Amino acid sequence: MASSGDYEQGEKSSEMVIPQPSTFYKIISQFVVNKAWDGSPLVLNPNEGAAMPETPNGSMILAYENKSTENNQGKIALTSGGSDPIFLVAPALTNQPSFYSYNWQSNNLNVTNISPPNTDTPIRIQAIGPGMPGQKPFPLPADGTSVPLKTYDSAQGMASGGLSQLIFQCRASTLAVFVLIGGPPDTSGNNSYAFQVNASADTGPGTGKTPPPGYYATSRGNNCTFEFQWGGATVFVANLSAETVTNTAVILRSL
Amino acid sequence: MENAFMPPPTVLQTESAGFTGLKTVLPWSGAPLTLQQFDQAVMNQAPNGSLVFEYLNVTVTTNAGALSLTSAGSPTKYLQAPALIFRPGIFINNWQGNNLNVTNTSTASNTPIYIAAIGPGLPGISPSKLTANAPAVTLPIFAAAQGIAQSNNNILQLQASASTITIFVIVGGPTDATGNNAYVVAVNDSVDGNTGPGTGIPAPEGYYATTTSNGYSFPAPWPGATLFVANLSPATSVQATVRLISL
Amino acid sequence: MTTAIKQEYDTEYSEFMLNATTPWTGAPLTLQQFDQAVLAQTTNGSLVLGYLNMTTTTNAGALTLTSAGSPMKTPQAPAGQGRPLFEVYNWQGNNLNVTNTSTAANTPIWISAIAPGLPGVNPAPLAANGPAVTIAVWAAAQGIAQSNNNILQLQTSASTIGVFAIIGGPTDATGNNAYIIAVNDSFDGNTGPGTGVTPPPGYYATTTGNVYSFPAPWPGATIFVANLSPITSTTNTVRLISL
Repeated sequence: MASSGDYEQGEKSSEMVIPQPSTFYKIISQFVVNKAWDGSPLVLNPNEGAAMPETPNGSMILAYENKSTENNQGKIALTSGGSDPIFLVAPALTNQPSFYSYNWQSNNLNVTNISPPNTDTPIRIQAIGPGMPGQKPFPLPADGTSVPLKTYDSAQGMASGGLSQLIFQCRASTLAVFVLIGGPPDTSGNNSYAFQVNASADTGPGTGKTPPPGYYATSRGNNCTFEFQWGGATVFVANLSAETVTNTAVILRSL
Repeated sequence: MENAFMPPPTVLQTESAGFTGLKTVLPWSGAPLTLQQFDQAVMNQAPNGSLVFEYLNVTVTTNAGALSLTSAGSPTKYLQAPALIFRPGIFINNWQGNNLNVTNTSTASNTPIYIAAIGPGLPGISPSKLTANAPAVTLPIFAAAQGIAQSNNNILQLQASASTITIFVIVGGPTDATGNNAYVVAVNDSVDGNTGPGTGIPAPEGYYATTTSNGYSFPAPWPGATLFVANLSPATSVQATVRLISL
Repeated sequence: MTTAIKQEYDTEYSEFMLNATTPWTGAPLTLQQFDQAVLAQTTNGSLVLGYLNMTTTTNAGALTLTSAGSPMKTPQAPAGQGRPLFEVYNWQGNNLNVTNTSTAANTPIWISAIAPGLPGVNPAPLAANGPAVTIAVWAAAQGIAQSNNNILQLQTSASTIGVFAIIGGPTDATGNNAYIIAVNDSFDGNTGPGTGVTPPPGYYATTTGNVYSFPAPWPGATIFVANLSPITSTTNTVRLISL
């Protein structure tokens, strides 16, 4: 027999009511170590969370890396507004950021380390994108100057109005990963692109092959190029390769 | 007829002057270098064109040798380097401007492998001038000469005065289906004999031709092409020359 | 069981029940029948557990593994094996109790367990394209793969069997990323990839030679290599080559 009225704690009701997140979660967002997280690099131990009060209204990349010295697989939960959490696995001992790119449309974002408690599973998080506080991009000239970038470094510049080209480069026999934010957003409001160089195959536009999930293109060579015409737009690039990868750089030039 | 087994050639170790054997990763320009087991030569940027890679197992025992070549995201290329042969192995490839790592992955410890690589795009190579229908130009080891073919039909006259095997590299003309246009000719090659075009016998892997005599006439039917000729012999005692004849 | 029967059972077998419960780090240990080793906390990743029935008779051995609320596992430990068997599993940070539940008294079972970061395991640095590193029994070396293609050169100098455990790279469908290799293994011969012969349970490969080249195509990954030989007199070395 359905009862009427609102749900009160302790009162049984056979009518289904959606509980509020703050009374529902016991771990997610309950042990926030930084309530005003600006995206700067931050390490969360299991159960700890970070709260970003307002995300950009555009693409933002959340980079997360399991820093455990044990082979403890990690996991984070992302919540924003009233959404259901998104769970992301942070594999152990990769020495490499994983990343999740999204447009949270100015809503808040909470990141919680939900790895098993009392295990050594710290997870480093960082929010990456143009204008994120706590980030210092190198200047990226549009004249073809090569800008070296280590892992987590970024570079930002202004592309000319005409046809331009970005070159992502790693002169070594090891996989390297770059992300780009810029240009007009797509229908889901995103304008971020991820690239691999020294990958096992050429994939993406012009190759006839589908890139791996989350990637725009991959190149088997040391260089991956991206041509665009965004009419004098800001171009932001970050290196999200494994931390031991060297000889990486980005180049922006007009064609 | 010379004995097929010759003492290991005296190799230049210009890259490894001061090499104490403790470093295993060596920056490499392509100049002749001997890699001990597990040593690695790293060329950050290979030319965007044909590069001739030469290798020779210089062990004095019977240890078979092996090399692993990696570049960017390409699959590893494995090369076998048999012991006690005196003709170097040749691998021609266009690494398209990517890095090239060469590692001695031989299974036995006493397996030094001599390596060298040359091509027109290699930094540090300053070819001397090769004028058509002019006197022959001397080519020291790991040096090159370069000139322009003046006629429809041209001949590169390759000559070596010593009695030891001499390896010539020619790069020029149109590229083939693999994107390469490099040719390797061995003269004074008593072990392989006469092989390649016109002999009815296939040349060894990577080679265009071999001959027992000390000269070879290489046809270059590429009017106007720039021709690059280098001496990639693994021995120092060779006097090699090249003459360009435009018919 | 009725209470009476249970009382009789307990009285009859009390002297044999749980002879010893030992707090355990994973270091090599021999469990007599009914002995138990307790590893209080595992990692949330692959744990490599090796075991070898050391009986000089033909007594078949058995272990029982329990952890938190998981269903128990009961690996069998046949007699007369020339090298350890292995159980690779992710115990998700929970405890692991290992009990020798062999049916006969004279069935000692050697056990050893290792994972990166287990307390008491301090791996030596393993530099890519650096010298070979010697690893003692139940010790490890750990380094970072620098290229897309890397090789772990596993070698033992003696003529007795050498057993290596490699942990690293992406996890498989079972959530594990451990690989066990035996060298100088005349008991099994050449098994594993490239041989056409299935390796023993838990093993990636075995070889009669004293060297094995293990391919590790995991750029940037931390690779952990441990010596889980049951014999202390072997000198086991590992070298990491990043091509």
